[in-house]
Amino acid sequence: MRLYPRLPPKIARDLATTLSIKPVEDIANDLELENRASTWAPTGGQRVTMNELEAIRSELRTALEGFGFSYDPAIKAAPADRASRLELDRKIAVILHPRLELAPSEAAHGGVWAFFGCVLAPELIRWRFPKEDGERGTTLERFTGNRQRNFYARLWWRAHLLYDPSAEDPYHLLDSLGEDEQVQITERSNIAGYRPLALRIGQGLVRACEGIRGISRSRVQREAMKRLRRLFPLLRVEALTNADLDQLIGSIYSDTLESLAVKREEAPPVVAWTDRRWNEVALDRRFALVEALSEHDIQMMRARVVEPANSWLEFDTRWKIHFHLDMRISDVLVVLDSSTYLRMEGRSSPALLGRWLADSQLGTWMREVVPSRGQRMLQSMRMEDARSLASRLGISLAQDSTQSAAQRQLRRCFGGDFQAIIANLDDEAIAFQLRHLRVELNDRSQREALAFWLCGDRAVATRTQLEYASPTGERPTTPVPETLILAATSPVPIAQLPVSPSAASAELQVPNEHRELPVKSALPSTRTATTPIDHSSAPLAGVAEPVGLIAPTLEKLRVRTVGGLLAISHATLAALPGVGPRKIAAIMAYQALVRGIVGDVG
Amino acid sequence: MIASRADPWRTPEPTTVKGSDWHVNMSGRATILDESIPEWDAAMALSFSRHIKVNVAEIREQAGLPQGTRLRTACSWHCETTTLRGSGTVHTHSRTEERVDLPLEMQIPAGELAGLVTLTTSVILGEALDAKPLRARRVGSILWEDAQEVVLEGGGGRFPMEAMSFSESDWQHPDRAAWMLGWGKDFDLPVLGGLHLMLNLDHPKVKTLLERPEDVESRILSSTMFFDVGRQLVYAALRDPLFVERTNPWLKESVGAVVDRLLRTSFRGESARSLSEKMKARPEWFDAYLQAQLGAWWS
Repeated sequence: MRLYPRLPPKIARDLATTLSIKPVEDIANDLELENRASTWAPTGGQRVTMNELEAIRSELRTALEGFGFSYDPAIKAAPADRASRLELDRKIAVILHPRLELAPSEAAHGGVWAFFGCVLAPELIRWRFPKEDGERGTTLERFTGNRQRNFYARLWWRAHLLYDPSAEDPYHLLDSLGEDEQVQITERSNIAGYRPLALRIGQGLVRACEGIRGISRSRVQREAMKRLRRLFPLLRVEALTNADLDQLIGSIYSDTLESLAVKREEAPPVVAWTDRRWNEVALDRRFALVEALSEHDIQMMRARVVEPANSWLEFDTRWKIHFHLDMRISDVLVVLDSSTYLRMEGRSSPALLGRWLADSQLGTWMREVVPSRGQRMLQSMRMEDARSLASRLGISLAQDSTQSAAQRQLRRCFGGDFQAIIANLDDEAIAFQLRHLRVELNDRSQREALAFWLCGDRAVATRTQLEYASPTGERPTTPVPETLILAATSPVPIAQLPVSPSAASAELQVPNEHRELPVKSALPSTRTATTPIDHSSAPLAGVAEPVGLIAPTLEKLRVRTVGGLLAISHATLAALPGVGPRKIAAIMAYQALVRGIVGDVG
Repeated sequence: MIASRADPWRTPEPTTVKGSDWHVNMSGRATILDESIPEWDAAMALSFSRHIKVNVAEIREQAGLPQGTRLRTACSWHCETTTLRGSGTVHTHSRTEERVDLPLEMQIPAGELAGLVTLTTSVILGEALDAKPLRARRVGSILWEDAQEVVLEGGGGRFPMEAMSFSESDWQHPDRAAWMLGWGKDFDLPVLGGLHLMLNLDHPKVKTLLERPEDVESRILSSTMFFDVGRQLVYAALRDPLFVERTNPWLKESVGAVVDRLLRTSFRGESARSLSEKMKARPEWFDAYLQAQLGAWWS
């Protein structure tokens, strides 16, 4: 435990009055590490040395330099946008809390923080709150105030009360909670003083609000805290077990959300399969593309997409290409002959064709989730990043533009294409957004990871196309790059599709004669989509169902990949509501082919 | 204004629970907890204990709870200055338990407290129940509670003191010294800023003093140390003409005010000037006189 100098209140007040209107560079010229009037706690720890105080000051200063702090008279103002300020505060909190080795008994003494605010590093406060008190300068409480108002005390106490010793990043709540949300917890001293409760309130909020729409998280937090404060005097929370606390906080948040009638986002993979309309469209479009493939395309696919395919007939290749589209549209698109695009009736570029294919599967996700996440992304964007983005693209952003005005302008300019915004952000801005939105990389590049977060795991802009538009590469010629391709992806490659051991047995092998069926007769054309197909003659009608992979309804199946369909028999499919003959034919043929592939590979 | 607590459910009579006095355990000894702990300092971890008799069956009945409802008896602490809270023993009563005699214990880590701490003993509902009028239903609902406030630190001043390893500190103190009084001979500074008694943890006797202050040897060392500090302050004051000739009162809580008070209480009726002259005329006699007046090694 370390002890720090304490500045008496009157001295602190006098100093703060002067500091609050002094230019930063003047404060910097008069900086000292000692004040004659300062005192120490008589006992209770080791006094900090002058060298240590100097080191702390320098560490704080260096941290803020990353946000533009400088002693230069032509000083750059502190960031004005909420996200950067929050990031800056977090940075200071994360330095102060472990670095000071301060016990709460010492941190509870206002004189310690007055020393920090008025003697150790007042210039940083002056820079951080330049015109808080109208034109007069910084409010005195930032230098001398209590733990809620003093700049350094506020951040140390937040870090202390929201410190999660069990987490890999013990300060993660400072990151995942907004300013108002942190205030709601840490300034309710009764509640925040019991750390297990404070942590659960923060963690519970993040969990409860995952995917909610139409209401701000701060509002949920405010309402939940009202409920908790009503209960708090009646309960002895310190005597609750962890499970009790989880239950208490969980029920408070769920009651709050219910009372606010909050709607949630649907999970994208489920939507993709339960939204029948979009699913049908996707199937149609894939058929259309496969039909339009030229001989050259098929040769290329054999070599690059559907391996090993050299000895296979066109029919097999087409089918595999067809189902491969479910997995990697982008892989298919890169090998297409340009004549194919022309045959695709107006979808004359990889971008247009890719969008056309992917939109059909991603309809719901793209319609509802992407705009809401995109909005969050804009909200968390630092003002300096918004300015830099605007200037690069030649958008005029007013000098005194507020953050929300800048958000609106960028959104209008990009026509709601948030992928395009990602493509145009610089690397530092992307890194900031990833941290702020708590997006995990999972072996992806930063830009891809943000695109994944935005569009879900079924859609992403390809790496090359995103890099094309990055500041280090060639600049885009238009605000909305046309080169972005959305590609549907699947997490499971063909070779790993779920097939039970019995699937490799002889009775499940595709008979050779079926491989020689004329393509046209097996492959329904989009133009004859309404023509019924006699599925009783499908190659594997009545095939045995591998145990454990059968699902009674498609709704329950919720398959993420077409591989799940391997398990369904003709009879099961026919019994499913809303599954037409065309889908059954497609699924059955696919089953046969994939089993053949797996058998060959195995 | 007296705030009275009104629970929204039936609670048992206060007599259903009987608790002994709280005890505080310090330096291996348990003593009955008074209203304050004068010897407390922030670096001290505290341990409290008490016994409690809980009539669980009667509490259930009087609170309108079904037979066999799970209850818990727990103790907890809350410090208003640091705003922190914590818990000690939490005992869950079994469904068949009717009367129980429980030891309760609570450890509060060093550095968590300041000013005043409230020790609370509670009997709470240990499981969720269906909602019924005037019946507690949430886990944690308080059925019975008592609290005791304890003032830490007391009202008296303390001498600013710090234990450190001289060999490892940046201060370059002699490694084998037992203590050193750090001060700049500035009588205008506040005591808590201007004086700093440093104890050397490398010295075995000092270590013993800190670990077992009640030992005879430790008490002698402590007397010697405080005589030495007093001696240094008095000699410095009497050698300083500005101190000796000063007629204006010293600032409250300044080093000058403390030394002035020490001289007035130890040498009643003698002025600083007269003491200064005695010191210069017969230094060896004055040393002994100082011992006598400061009461060194008598207590």
